[in-house]
Amino acid sequence: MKLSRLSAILEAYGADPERWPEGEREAALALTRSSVPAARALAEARALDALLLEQSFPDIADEPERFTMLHSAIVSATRRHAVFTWFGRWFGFDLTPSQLWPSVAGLALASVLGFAVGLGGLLQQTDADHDTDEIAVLSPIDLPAIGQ
Amino acid sequence: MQSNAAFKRAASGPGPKLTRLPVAEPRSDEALMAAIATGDQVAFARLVERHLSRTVGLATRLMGSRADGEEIAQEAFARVWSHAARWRPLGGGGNARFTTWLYRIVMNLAIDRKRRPTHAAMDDVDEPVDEADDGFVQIHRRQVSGAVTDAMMKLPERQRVALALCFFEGMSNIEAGKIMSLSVGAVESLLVRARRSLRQGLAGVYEELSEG
Repeated sequence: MKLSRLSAILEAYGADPERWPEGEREAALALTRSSVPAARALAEARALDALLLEQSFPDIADEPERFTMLHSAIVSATRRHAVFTWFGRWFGFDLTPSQLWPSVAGLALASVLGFAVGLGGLLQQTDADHDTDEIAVLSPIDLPAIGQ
Repeated sequence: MQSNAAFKRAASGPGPKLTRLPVAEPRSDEALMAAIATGDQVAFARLVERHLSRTVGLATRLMGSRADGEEIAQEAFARVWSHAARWRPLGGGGNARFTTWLYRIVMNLAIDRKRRPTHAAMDDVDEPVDEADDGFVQIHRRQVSGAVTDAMMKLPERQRVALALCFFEGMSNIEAGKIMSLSVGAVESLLVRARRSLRQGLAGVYEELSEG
């Protein structure tokens, strides 16, 4: 193996041979043992690895309460999703909540509009009936009777 | 197994109790997914228990924040649940293992989230450090950790993902390539560029450490 290839491996995968491509591992290790520049490149890669591994985030597996809360939140969210999907299928949809919301919103809007139009029609009908009553009172058919 | 250990700690810990699900022989991810596709919530709970820790870990690395990582993990598992019926196992018409699929979801969600403007969450604010005992060591480690996180967040998305998968999560370049839909050579190239950028970005920290 050439030094340039070893450098590329170290640049990509770091200093831990376990992470190096399996087919090139032995040759790369041999080069680091036999070449001073290769050993130096390995040491540089090891220094960067050590620095990167200083980035530490706590593992949620080490925090039982948080693990349980998050697990419960995820599982209970699917229960809500399951109920929603069941309703969706009952209405003839096979949709997820995010897909179903526009349909539900559309249905609700149509219901409100229908109610408004129906109510408006009813009020107009009432006014018209009232006018008809007044006209009926002044109907010419009744005039002779008034004249008598 | 890591998830079992986590469960035991959760069950015996002081917080809310986790009820152990009925014991059965370990089922593969693929078998659990088949059950989840039929609406089996017990199977889903098992799958989440098995993969939650690593999913949060990966998402946290990609987002640079634990709170964001947990949100991404929740969203990712919600997608697993809602898309389970469409998922096909490797060899059964599909072309990926469950974990490859799951981590791809996590990667995509993290990239989407990073592109959106965000506000700092309360969970992201550093807690005060206990000055007693090794307070200075703790402060120093936090500073170095923060510097590495900042440098990671400045990397282009795909370089950050490649580094998180291969270096921090210990995946092979082949597996990372499948998750990222890239060739092994392309993953290697991303890793080289990522590490070069980090070396440059962290030059100040290097000097500080060597002086210390």
